Order: sequence, then C-alpha cells, then structure tokens
Amino acid sequence: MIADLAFSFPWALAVLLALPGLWWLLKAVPPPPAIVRFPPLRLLMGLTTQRETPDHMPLWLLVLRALVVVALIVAAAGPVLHPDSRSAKTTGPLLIAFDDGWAAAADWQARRTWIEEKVDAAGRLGRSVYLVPTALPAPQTFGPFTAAQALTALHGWTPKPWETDRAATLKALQAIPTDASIESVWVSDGTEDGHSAAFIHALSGLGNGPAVIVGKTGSVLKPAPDGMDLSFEIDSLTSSSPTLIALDEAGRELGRTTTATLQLPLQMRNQVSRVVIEGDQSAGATVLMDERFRRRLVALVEDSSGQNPQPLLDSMTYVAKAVQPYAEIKSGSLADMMAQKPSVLVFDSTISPDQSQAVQDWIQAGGMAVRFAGNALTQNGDEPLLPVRLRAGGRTLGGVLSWAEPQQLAPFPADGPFAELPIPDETEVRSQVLAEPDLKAVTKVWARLTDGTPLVTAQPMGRGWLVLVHCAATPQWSSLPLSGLFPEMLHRLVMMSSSSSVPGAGPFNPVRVLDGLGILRPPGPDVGAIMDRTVAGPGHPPGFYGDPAAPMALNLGPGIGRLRPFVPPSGVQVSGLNRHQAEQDLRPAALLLALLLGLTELIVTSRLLRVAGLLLLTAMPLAQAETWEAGLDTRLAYVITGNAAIDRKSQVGLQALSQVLAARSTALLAAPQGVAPDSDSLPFYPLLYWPLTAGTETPTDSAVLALKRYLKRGGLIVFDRQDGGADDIAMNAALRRLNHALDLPALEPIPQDHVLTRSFYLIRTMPGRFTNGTVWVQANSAENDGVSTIVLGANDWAGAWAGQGTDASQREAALRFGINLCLYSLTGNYKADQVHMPAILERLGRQP
Amino acid sequence: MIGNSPVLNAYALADTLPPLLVAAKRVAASVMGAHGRRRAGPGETFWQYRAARPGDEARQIDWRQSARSDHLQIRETEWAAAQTVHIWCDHSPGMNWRSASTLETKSDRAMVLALGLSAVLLRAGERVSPIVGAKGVGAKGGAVSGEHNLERVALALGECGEPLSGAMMSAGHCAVLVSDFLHPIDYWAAVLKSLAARGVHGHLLHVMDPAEESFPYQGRVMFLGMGQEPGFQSNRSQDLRAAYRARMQDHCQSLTRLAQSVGWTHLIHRTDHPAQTPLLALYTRLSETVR
Repeated sequence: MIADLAFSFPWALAVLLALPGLWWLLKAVPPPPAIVRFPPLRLLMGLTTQRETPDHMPLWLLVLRALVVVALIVAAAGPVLHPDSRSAKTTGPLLIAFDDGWAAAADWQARRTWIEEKVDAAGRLGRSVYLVPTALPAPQTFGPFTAAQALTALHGWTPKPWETDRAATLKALQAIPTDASIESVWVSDGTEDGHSAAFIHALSGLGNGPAVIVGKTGSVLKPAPDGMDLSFEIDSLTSSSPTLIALDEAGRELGRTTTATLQLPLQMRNQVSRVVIEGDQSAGATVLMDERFRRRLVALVEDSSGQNPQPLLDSMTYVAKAVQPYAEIKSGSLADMMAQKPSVLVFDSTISPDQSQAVQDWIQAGGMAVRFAGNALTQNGDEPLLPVRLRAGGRTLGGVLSWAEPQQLAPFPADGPFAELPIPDETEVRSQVLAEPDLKAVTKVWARLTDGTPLVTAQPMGRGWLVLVHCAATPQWSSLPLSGLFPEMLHRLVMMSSSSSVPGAGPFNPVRVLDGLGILRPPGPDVGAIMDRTVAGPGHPPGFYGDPAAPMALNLGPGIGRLRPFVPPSGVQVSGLNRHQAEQDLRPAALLLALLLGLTELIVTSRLLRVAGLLLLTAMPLAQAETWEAGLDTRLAYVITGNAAIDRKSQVGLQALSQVLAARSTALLAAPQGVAPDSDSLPFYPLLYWPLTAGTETPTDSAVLALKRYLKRGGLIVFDRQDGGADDIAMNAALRRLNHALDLPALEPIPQDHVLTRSFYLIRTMPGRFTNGTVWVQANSAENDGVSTIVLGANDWAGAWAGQGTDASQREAALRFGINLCLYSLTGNYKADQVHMPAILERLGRQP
Repeated sequence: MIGNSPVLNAYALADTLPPLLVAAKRVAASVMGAHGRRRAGPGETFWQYRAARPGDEARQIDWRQSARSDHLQIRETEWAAAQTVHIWCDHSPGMNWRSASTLETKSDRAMVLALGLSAVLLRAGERVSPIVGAKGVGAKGGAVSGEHNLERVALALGECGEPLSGAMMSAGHCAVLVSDFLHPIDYWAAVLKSLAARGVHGHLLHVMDPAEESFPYQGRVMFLGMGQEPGFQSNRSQDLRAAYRARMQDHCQSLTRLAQSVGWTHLIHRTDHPAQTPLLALYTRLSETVR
C-alpha cells in the first residue's frame, strides 16, 4: 500500500520541513480575546491581576491546526495510489490472450474480472481490443473489438471443459496484422504444454509484450487405475493436500476425505455420482462415477446344510475368493439371499420349482443369475432355469476310460462379455455338462472349448441374464477355478450386472455434460455422441453418456497428462492477477481531509459546538424518556399493530382491566403502554397483549430477538386472534408466519385444571367478546417452571374489557379471566401450589 | 418598545397574586378603589348616624331615620381616598443586556415586574403613577386608576427616563424604583434624599443578571461597556473574580444602608429566579407601608 504511493510533485513535501517553525509560531500567538459586553464595567475598572501571562493555545487545537497544514501540503504534492507507469500514455490496440481451458477454472472469476478491468481501462483511452482464447473451438475472429463489444463477449465467457491448444491458436494468430503499437498480455493458466515459449514469441512478434500473468492452476482428479476402490490420484502443481467430496446425483454431500481414498458404506458408495476437489471447481477436478465404479452385491447360495466341512471341495469357496476384491459378498440360503436384493446370484445347486419362479422374476427385473454345473445338474436334465437343455449325464475328458484329451478354452467370441481376455495355457477342462443341440436363438454362447462345445451359455431374460457355466467351480472339473482367468471372467460378469451397456457397444448419446466450471448441464447441440474409447476433448466434453437410467461416465482426468508448471522464458516478466490495480489520485481525498479538519476546528472553537452539544444533550433524554418512564411502574403492555382502531381498543381494554384489577386486588398497575417490539424495551412488562390480524406481518429480526429474549426471561405474551375462532385462512397463515419466526413452543388447549382457571377467581370459561374460541397454552412448559409463556385465544378479550358488544355478565366474566391472566403473569405458578387444593376442592364440591 | 407581550406577562404575573388590597385588614367593608379613613367624610359607605347639631345643613338630615326617634338624625359616610403608588422603571442602556440567551434582559424583567405590580395595584383600585422623566405630568403621565388603564401605564412605563423627578409626589405617597442601580452610590443618595425630603416612602427593586453577581468569565476577555466608553481587557479574567465580587457586594450593601437611612427598603432580584418572588415581597411591604 505504502509502496504503491507516489507523488506528482514530490518537492512540495519539502514545505513539511517548515512545520516545526509553524508549530512554534502557533504556540506563541495567544488566542484572540473573547469580546464581552458587561454593564457593571465601572466596577471592573482599575482591578489588576497578579499574573498577566496569557493562556496558551490548547494542545489539541495546536495539533488540529498542524494537521490541517500537513494535509494541505500533502494535497499540494499530488499523491497517487498504485501509479501505473507503463500503460498511461499508450493508445495502440490491446491484445489479451487468455487460457480458457479447464485449468483456468480454479480462479476464473478473478481472471475474468482482471481482464474486464483491463479492457475497461483500455476503453477509457479509446483503444481497440483483441481477445485471443487458447482453447478450441477458436472464435471466428479475434477482433479488433471496441471495449464495449469485448466486455459483452467476455460477460458470459466460461472456461472449456478440456485442455487448451496453444499450437492451434498459434497458427490462428497469423490472422492478426502485425502492429508495433499493439500491447499484448497473456493470462496463462500456469501449465506447460510445450508450446508456451513459441506462443510468447508469436505474441511478441505482433507488437509490444507480452506481459505474462499467471493465475491459479487447477488440480486434476483421476480415478486410480484399479477403479474398483474409490481411490483417486490427485495431480496438482501445489503441494497442499486437498479435500475430496463425494456427492450424490442431487448434489448432496455423502462424504469427504483428505486422503486419496474414500471409505463409505456400500449403500452410500453406490449412490456417489461424482467426486470433486473442495474449492476447485473445474471439469478436471471432477470425477463422474458410473456403474463401473459401484461395488455390486454378489450373493452366494449355499446348501441348506449350512457349514461345509470341506471348504476346499465347495465351489462357492472359489467363487468367493475370485469375487472378493471388487464386490460385496453375502452367502446363505436362497430365500435369505433373495431378500438381500443382490446384483448377482451365484449357485450350483438345484432349484425347486416354486423357488424358480421367484428367481425368474428377479432376473426379469434386472438380476444376473450365474449357475455352475455340478453333480446335481448332471443327474437332472429337466432342471428349470437353464439357458440350454442339458443332456443327462456329464462328459468327462481325459479320464482313465476316456480317449479324449482335456480340452482348452477357445478364444472368446468378440461380441461376448469375455472378449479379449487372455487365456492362460494351463487352463484345461476335464468335465462338463453338455447342452442338447438346440435352435433357441436367444441363447448366446460366451465361451467355448477348443472342440466347439459351449462352456458358458447365457440367455437374456427381461432386463437380466441367466448364465450357465458348464462345469463346476471346483478343481475336480477343471483347472479354471485355479487360474487367473476365473476372477477376470467373474469380474466381467459382475460388471455386466445391472448395467444396460454391454462393453463394446456404441455410440453413446450425451445425457448430461460438465462445463468448464465442473457443473453438470444438459448437452448443447455441439456435443456429439461418443464411442467407448473416446477421450474427452473439444466436441466431447466430460459427462454422462448413453442410457439415461444407467449412463456411462466420460471423465476428463484420465486423458490429461501429468501437469507441468509453466516456466517463463528468460526475459519475460511474470506477475500475478492481484497486481493489477487502477491508478488512484489521492489529492481530492487529502483536500477533503484538510477541509474536514478545518471545519472541525471551526465548530469546536465557535459557539456552534455548544449549540450542537446542547441539541444532542436535549435530544438524547427525549429519546430515552419514554422507556425510563415506562419502567418506573409495573404496567401491562400491548403490541402496536398500526391499526388505529385495534390499538385504541387494546389501550382502553387494558386500561379498564388495570383499573378493575386495582379495585379488586392489591396489584396496582400503571396505565398500559403500547410497544413496538423492534424498537422498545420489553423487559419491564409482565404481560404483552398482542392482537393479531390477518395482516400481521412477520416481525423483523430485531423484534424476533427481543421477543425471544422476553419469552426466555419469563414474559407472557397473550395472542388474541379477535375472530372468535373462525377458520380464517389468512389469519391462520399470519399465525403460521408468526410461529415460524418466533419459534413458539408446542401449544395445547388449556386443561381444565390449569393455573389460569384459579389464579384469582375460579373460572371455567374464558370469554371475551366471543365465547367459543379455544384458549391454547404451552403444552409442556417444564423449562419455565411450569408457567406457560404463551396464551393464544380468539375471543377478543380487549374488546370485552373495553366494554364492546357484551352484556354485563359476559364482561364480568371476561374481566375475571383478565384478572386471572394478570395475576398469572405476576405470580406464575404460585396458585398451582397444592396447599390450596383442599380448600378449592371443598368449594368445588359445594357447587352443584 | 412596549408591545403586548410585557402587558400579557404582567397580567400573568399579577394573576398569581390576590388583588393587592393595601391595608385591607383595616377596611374590611370598604369598596374597591378607596380606603376608608375610619372617620366621617366624603365617601359612599355608611359610617354612622349622629344627632343633628346646630350648624348642620337641613339637607343633611336623614328624615326617615329621624322619624323613628325624637331627635333629628344625620347620616354620615366614611371618608374614602385611594393611595397613589409612583413607579419608575430604569431603561438605561445597561439594562438592555443579558449574559446568556436563556435569560431575559434586565430591562424586560424590570418591565414585567413594574407592570405586574401595576396590574395588582390597579385591580385593587389603587392609583398608579409612572414617573415619566423630568417632564412630570404629561400626556402620558399622571396617576391612573382602573384595571382597564394598564395599557396606558405600560406605555408610560416605557418612557421612564432620567433624571428622576419627585415633582408629582407629595407626602404619604409611595414610590417603587426598579433598576439595576449601577450608578455610583452618591447618585442614588441624592435621589433618595430628595424623595424622602418630600415625605415619600418607597422601595428599591434591584434587578441583577446572574453574571453580574457571579462573574463567570475566564481567559482572555475584552470587556466593553454598553456605550462608547473605553473597554477593559484582562488576560486572566478568572483572577478578577474575587475582587469584582467584593466590589459588587460592597455596592449592594451601600444601597441597602442608604435605603434604610431614609426608611426605604432594598430588594435584590436575579433574572434567573422567578419573578413572582420579588412581586410577593413587594406586595407584602406595600401592604405594610401604605395607609
């Protein structure tokens, strides 16, 4: 700040050296005498005093006058804040090249503001502007624009959700004519792509510059290559470890971590829709999660016998081991497993017909059932739920009595889920179940043996699949369960479950795509369909593609190489975004300061001060007087509604009640006071009567605070709807607003034995001008010593107290209730004391 | 100079006192406007019947009363006469001054007091005679009576000037002088002695601004008089306070002694005090002295 201060005429500051002399001079000259007319002058004549030394000028006056002089001198020197030495006199065009790829999104707002200020400043000098974004697609023209056009273009500019292409921009720059007066600026995102040196060179060839501005560089979030765990790789130019946040589809936070691995319960994990870096909003820092990232629940059906004494002979042991790394596993009886709603159901036992229907329904709904052949299957060819009809009895290869060799696996068909899986040499199949030759077109063969017999057959059923592996998952039938191929195959099957998109299919249409700021939006017309190997880039922003119900995610992160920081070539100055500040002339400020100080001195030394002080002194007590007076006596209060008739009624009603109370009890209350909760002090009043109307506004924040404090400290608010309990929608809405604002406690209709019914008179009804409104009190007021802080009614009590539209007996009843109310507010639960119960009971008993 | 405002003020002030019936105790039955001299003489109030004596005129005989007895009876009335109070109100330039804007000037206060006194006296039926400078009896001068004449008194009081003249006064009259009495004591001695020589009783009502008593000034102050006279500058005026106060006190005591020496009274009133107090005191004193 101080370093940024410069003076237009620094020599003027030399006058400051004369300040001590001025100080001495001011100190030596006494203040002028006050001139006073004095009739008894004759009596003064001839009087002398012992000392004739005049009073000195007071120190504060001296300092004040010295400050005035200093301010004037500084103003004369022409102070300037943030002097801009370079661009002050330039009038040539301004060229702003700016990176608008994903990496610039981290501080895009600051970048845009910086550029806009720069363009604005250029516009004031009448300079034209070139705008050169570096991310594709390149705009039709770079300019020249007027400043206003450039600002309009910049207004909605967002970064692109892919990388910049400086090499392409470099070629496009040739469209701009070389002009020695061009001043160029490059707002870089701070990454190095191997072309930045050439880019700077090209810019400098156009004219002056460039000045290079480097902002914050965004970080890249990549799913870890495994992809099975929610672990990530963060590539950042800074060393800080960011926080990852997992969000579900609606944007709710599901979890956060500062390490690179998110640990979530299965159900929550499967709801994760995207993972972002906190405080870094960009497409590169967002990983979209699709079905491939979700862990499936694989249910293994065990025999009803329970614990298997020979686990190594049990096929489920091998399946469990193979599936464990990438799926949750549950095991149990078929009925138990169906209840778990798994993604994949694996079993090798037979199925009873009644169970088969349930399993079939489940498959139709999208489940994947994987059956392994076993001894049970070889004996029962009519087993339900098989993709193929099986021949009775199995086939054994390479046995003692067999001439055939154990068979190897043939290469997997390209259209099946196992496409391109490498087949280890040692895999051989010794036993299998054979399918009847069948022309069922729906059956697909996903794996064969070298002799062409199917090893894995599958049948689509509804939205799910029924898969049969023609041998058992035990080493007795084949070496497959022991090979590395087995987990891979199961992995593919599990991945296929609950996922409509079979790998290899395409193209996928965009569903929702990310913009450069990492926000999911509906795709624009320029977003094309992708194939499964497409890498995010221009025209193919990262986002969700394919089936809207189970879309496939295309992420930007994996396609980005390792980040390299931008290293400026020698001779190029690099500065940050914050260095750009407009030149500010401080001379008016200094002059204003001098003027204010001078005025202050004038006011202080003249009568004006006394007048102003007097005014202040008289005004302050006036403002406080009402509150003071109100606090001197105990009195009832009512809330001023602004409706003159209602306020008058409240005032008269409470006045009448106070008088009757004084006549019948020892409680002497002063005249009631109208209060506005947002400006008046409330603590003086034991009872606050609040007539409600349909137009009652929500109290202001300060009023809410005051009312809450009032209630918390033992105040009593009596709300009166004044409508006899009519079911008025507007009134109910007003009441709801009030309740919401004041956070009122739960209310209940007043119990028959409530203290209010016996705090002075024994009463049964609480009529006002109306008689049928229900009276509500706080339901469970344990926190306030059992005293309700709220009484809500609709009987227009104030009206009755004021004598409106009631006969004498009804008014008397209303007054009795009012007296009870006052004494309740003054004495709280005193009358709830059980001491009085016998007497009350006795009196109650005498009454018929 | 005299507008409605001082008159209204005077009425307001006068209303706070009961009608000033001078020596009312002794003439309980007297008519407003004249006080019985407790002897027979010209008047309207019945005094006594007495037997006719030789030398009484026949028309004096009350025939109706005489018919009731054997003697001729004469009906006598009480001799009634009103008291005249001369009032002088100082209007020298020094009176037109106040030390703070919240106070009245001494002149205003003096006027209110003089008029208030006049109002009370007129209401009681006494005669009020403003002393209008050396001219004596003039168009505006002369004693007036009747409450309706207060405006006339007010106009005349506004014309009061110096030097004081006792030309209109005669023995037994009463005078009230309202002033700040800042002239040297010798001047006042001459005035009072000349009045006292005529047998005039009187009262000095001394109106004083609080600053004239307390001298609240400090620092460098240039004191100017009310006229063209040279000023007086003090660099440390707070140091003058004690000496000034002593002189002022001395002056007041001299005035009191002077008044006592001729049988007058001296009453000091500060303009920051309510006006009722001196009026009440004056009322009491007038009740005692007037007969």
